[in-house]
Amino acid sequence: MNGMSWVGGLLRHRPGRILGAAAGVALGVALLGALGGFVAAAKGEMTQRAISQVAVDWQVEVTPGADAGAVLDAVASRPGVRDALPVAFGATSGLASSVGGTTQSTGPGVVVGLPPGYGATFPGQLRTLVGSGDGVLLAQQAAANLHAGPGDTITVNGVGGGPVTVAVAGVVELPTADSLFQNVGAPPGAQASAPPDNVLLVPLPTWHQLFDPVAEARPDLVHHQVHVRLDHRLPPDPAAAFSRAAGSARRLEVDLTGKVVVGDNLGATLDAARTDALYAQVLFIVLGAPGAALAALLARAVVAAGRDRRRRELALLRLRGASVRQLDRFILAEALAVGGLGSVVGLVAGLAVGRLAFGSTRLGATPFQASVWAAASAGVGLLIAGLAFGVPARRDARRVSVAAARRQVGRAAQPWVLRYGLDLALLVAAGLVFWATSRSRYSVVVVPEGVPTVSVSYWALSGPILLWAGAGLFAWRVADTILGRGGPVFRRALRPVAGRLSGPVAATLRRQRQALAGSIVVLALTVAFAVSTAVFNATYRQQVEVDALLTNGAAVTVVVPPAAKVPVGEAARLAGVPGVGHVEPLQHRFVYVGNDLQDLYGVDPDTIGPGAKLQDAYFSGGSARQMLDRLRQQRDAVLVSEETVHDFQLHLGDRLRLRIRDAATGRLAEVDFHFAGVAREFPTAPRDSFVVANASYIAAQTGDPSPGTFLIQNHGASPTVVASRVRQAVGTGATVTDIDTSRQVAGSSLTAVDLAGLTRVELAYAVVLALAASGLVVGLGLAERRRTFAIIAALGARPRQVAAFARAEAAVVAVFGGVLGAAGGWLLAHMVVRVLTGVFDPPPAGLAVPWGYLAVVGLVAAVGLATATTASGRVARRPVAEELRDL
Amino acid sequence: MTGTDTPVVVARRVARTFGSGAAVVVAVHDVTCCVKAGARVVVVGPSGSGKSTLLHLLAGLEQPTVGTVSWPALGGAPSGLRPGIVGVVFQGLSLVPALDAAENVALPLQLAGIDDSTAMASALEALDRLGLAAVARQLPEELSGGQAQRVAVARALVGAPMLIVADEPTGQLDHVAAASVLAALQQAATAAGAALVVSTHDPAVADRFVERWVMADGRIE
Repeated sequence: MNGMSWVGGLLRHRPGRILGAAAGVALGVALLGALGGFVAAAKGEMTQRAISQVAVDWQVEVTPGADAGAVLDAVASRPGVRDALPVAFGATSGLASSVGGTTQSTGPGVVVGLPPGYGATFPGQLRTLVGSGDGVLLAQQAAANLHAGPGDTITVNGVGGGPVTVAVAGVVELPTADSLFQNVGAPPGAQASAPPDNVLLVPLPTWHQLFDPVAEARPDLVHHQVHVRLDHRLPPDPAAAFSRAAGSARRLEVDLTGKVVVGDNLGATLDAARTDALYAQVLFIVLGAPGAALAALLARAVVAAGRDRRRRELALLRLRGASVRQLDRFILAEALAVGGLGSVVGLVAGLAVGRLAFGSTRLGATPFQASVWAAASAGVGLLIAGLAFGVPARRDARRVSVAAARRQVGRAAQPWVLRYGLDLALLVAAGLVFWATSRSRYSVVVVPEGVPTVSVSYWALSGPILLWAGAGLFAWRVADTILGRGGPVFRRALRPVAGRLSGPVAATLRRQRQALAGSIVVLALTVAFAVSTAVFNATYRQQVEVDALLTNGAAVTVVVPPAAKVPVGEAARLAGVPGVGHVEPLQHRFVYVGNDLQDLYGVDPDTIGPGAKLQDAYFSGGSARQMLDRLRQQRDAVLVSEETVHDFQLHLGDRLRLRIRDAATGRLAEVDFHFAGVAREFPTAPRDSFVVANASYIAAQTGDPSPGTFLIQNHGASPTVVASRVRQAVGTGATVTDIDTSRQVAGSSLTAVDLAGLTRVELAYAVVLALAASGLVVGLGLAERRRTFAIIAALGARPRQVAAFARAEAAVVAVFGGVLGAAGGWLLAHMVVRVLTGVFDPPPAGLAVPWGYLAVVGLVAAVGLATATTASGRVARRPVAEELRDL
Repeated sequence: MTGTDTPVVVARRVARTFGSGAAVVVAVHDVTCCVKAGARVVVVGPSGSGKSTLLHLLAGLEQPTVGTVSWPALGGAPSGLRPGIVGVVFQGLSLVPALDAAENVALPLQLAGIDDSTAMASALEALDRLGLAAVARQLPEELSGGQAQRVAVARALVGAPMLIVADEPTGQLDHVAAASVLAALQQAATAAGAALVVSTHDPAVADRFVERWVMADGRIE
């Protein structure tokens, strides 16, 4: 007999043995294939998304004294450069307009000279709001400040020989103003400079007419850049793409030493994307590794369920003269059959998952990526088969005697895992890692400042994995202790399922507790995996929503430029727009805290809570309600950021003198406030520092009650639709944004990647695992005891009495595996969320629990157990002699 | 076919077939037989001659395909094996591996609804009668083949049955152990006043019985 005929015989006579183990392998392969392909595709999507977000890839700053024309030629001729256009910047002391009989003037501004075709080459840089997109263009805020629009004439002060007038052709928005007016060449970590309030864009020849006369006398007032659009053929991995893009930018600086400094917008965006890619990788490890390990354990448990029979077969083969070498060949053939079949089925299942979850069999990955992941997954499948089946079978072939092979139960000495306290050691180690990672400002993805690499602190990930493994083994310890030493108490506990047979049922369970341990541990680990994954995913989705809400402020937000006059009753007018539920006016000013210029938000504490959907997590030292109560009770109360508290060593009740611009005089006036609490986040506020105070107090102190922002909650219509209607209502004088767009545009590329697909794969996998762990493993265990059930039936047991033995076994697995697994999963979810805090923005105040999904997992596990129990009960309904003969 | 008292079990023109179509196997074919109270019957014949199937039919473990089996002295047809009616010693290993010897013997009583302590006391008594008190707490895998089969005998006897059916009870034992098991069976049956039907293909065992049914191709010759 050779290996092939051995496997053929098994497939004919013991198909469950091969197919069951292959199913376990297939689960692991399917998960790894789907997850790996998804992560690879997600990384590629992150790169593409990062590239698409960049309006101008490079802003090559021409250093003073260098020839801008020569630099332009040098840059344009470089390989990889698709477009290179010159852009000039000049400073003006101010702009003025005379519209409708009144004269408006602004403070200092910037005049930008653009070449023909700039808007078409860099479409993300300008967005035409009204009028033409060519010619002299006013930025939105400058247009609001000057009350000017297309066709109006404005004066540019402080240029060359004196004021110059130009006719406005259009008003534009500068979506990437921060980047356009960046301080190119600023050292890493330097504070970003705010873009100018007053921007005028003119054709390049006009700019030269305006600024060439002053360029020689005041070179500090002008500077030149070359804006570059690159060939975007970059590697799909963000880290590799960043490396190539950043290297290319550095090479340009080296080649044109002293002549240019490169503002590498593409590199900066890819830099953020590669950090997000590492988080995606971490998610893959945290979510995928336990899944693959579970699949291996499942395969192991399936194999273990048939181990007694296999040991007897091997022993008989040896008795009949088979050499150890021949047995090795049989084992190898069986392991290859299990691994090969499981891998093929797993890959096909992975393709089906891709088709169902993502509409693509490759999950968005390139053919190469998909092939690599398929090959790697199949390799893991063979490894699982080898570890779960080959190794123990080979050991049995060498050590097991014929007499020992007859043994099915044995005196249950405590297994070494429990004897040496491995479970407790794992739990303690998990606790230590968790303590170490939570006591400091820890980040799982490390981005050292000034170092061009990012890395993952993998050791910190060991915390959740240690906890997971420890919880599974601890479930074993609890079950072993209660089954082994529970005595009368355990017998009484079994009465609901075993009735008057609780005595013999308890005795069989006590002696079979090592066999049951496999089922209990696998179910506990599966439930822990399902609970922690589901809670993590739900919390992640919750925080993405919170992030979008914080970024946009509300479902729809209207921001009025600082100098614009807001008509009285504007909030009421907006409330009348169809689909608008509630309008919350919000004052937005700037205030000096010491020398720091910070955003100041004036709120009505009676309405802002529900109006802006404030959450407790936004505040420190009290709930949202408590903080608003403090504002309500003390008119000059002020909430500041933690950074401000730290910088100024503030204590509750301290007086805080801030400088705010007075509406009447236009000068900064000192206003006294009292420190009342800490605000970590606030809708539309920047992340670093800001101030929240009573709107009525600010209005009284500055003489200006007008709001700068309206937070709008939608009612019965989508935010996008409401935003469109509001946009029509407010015209071009204000910026209207909606949460749906913000969710897509703002946030990291990690949140933007469709993690819902990953969620679907993970959650569906957990459900399948729960079914397999409960039904397959328990069912196979019960199938191994068919002879016992047949004997009991032959002794006169009624079907329900036989079923009592199977029901009790299923109940023990369900209680110890399910309940302890759920408790472990809950702890695990806490730890995973804590360790992966960097994924969440902002960090969650509490975990989101998807009760519906967890109920489905519980139901599926219960159905699996019930099916397995029912199947084993069929023994009692078959003719006893026939059953005994078959066995 | 002989008997001395009221029939315990009567089989009339029974047949038992397995499978269907071309694969049909006739295990027992047109057999009529009777076991009277206190009878000692041995069923002999080559492997595959239908001995085990006939014993299962007599014990009520199988239903005949054709014909009838009745148990006049037992109050009709037993629905399953109940203590006090039929005790069966199965061919090969038939003890529940996860129960010790005493628990195995007590199990039929517990299945019949007798409380745990009474069942256990009866089990220990039955084991003691067979000289197995010392192994009462041993697991089946810790017993020798002879001990395990004697425990199976004790289990068959614990409910004081009126009919004991033993299918190849000595098939896997050496001569010494086989003699011991057979003696235990006969003594216990005598003490309980039960009829005993044993199948075997061991001539030494068969020689210890007066009434002998010889089976071939599913028939009693």
